[in-house]
Amino acid sequence: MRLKILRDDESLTYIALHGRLDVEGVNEIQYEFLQKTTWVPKRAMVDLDGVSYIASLGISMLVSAAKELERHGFKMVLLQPKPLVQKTLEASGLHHVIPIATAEMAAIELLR
Amino acid sequence: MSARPAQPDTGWVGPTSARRGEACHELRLTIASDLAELARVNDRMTELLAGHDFEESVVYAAQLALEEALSNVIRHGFDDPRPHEISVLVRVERPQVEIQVIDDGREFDPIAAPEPALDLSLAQRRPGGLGIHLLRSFVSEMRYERIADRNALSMRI
Repeated sequence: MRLKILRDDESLTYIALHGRLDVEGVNEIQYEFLQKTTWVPKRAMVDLDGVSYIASLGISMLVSAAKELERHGFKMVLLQPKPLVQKTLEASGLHHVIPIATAEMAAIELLR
Repeated sequence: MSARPAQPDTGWVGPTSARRGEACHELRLTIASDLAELARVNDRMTELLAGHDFEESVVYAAQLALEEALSNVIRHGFDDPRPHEISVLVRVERPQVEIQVIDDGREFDPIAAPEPALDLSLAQRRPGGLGIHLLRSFVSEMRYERIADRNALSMRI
């Protein structure tokens, strides 16, 4: 599992994840992911296009970050999940509380 | 599905095969009650399924069901810190995949577990509770039995 910072300025954290968000994958990046998204709270965009698989632990990681950002008045948006990952997110009801966008511009609009 | 470097097997029973060159139809494993085992189990199952040309959605569902079932047992199934053994069987019966997990943890029927509230706000959501729900969402059939102080969970995808 890899994490790449695409943008990190005063208004937005934009992160791309790549790999499997299974038990092992979450263990590999959870600390860094939460650090990058929540230690200095601001709007966050998480590109899931490179994520091939997500299980409940991965969903919990996203929820933890989004909850913390919401406490500080900021939103998180998920971007371009693959169909099976999207299906998993929807089965968990996550799309009701963390918006999912299919394109970067749409994601930026959702963060306004 | 990403490939992991080959690891030496220790105490694992390999896949059965009738003749050289035939696709294996079954995988039987005994693993320790350790989350670190999940990666190897997943790799072995994925290798088995790759020999049978399943659609990506079936492989994904099998991986998710197995991970959530084992993760739930390992994290919540035992009251003592000593290591336990968990038996895993994966059987290909096209067009389906059957997965069976047997453990000696406390009695737990995942079919009877209550559904989590999925309409909670972010602030109301608490960690946990999703694993069994996802498992149920991705399998077509489930069967649970308590046999001689063991939980036996069977799932079909």
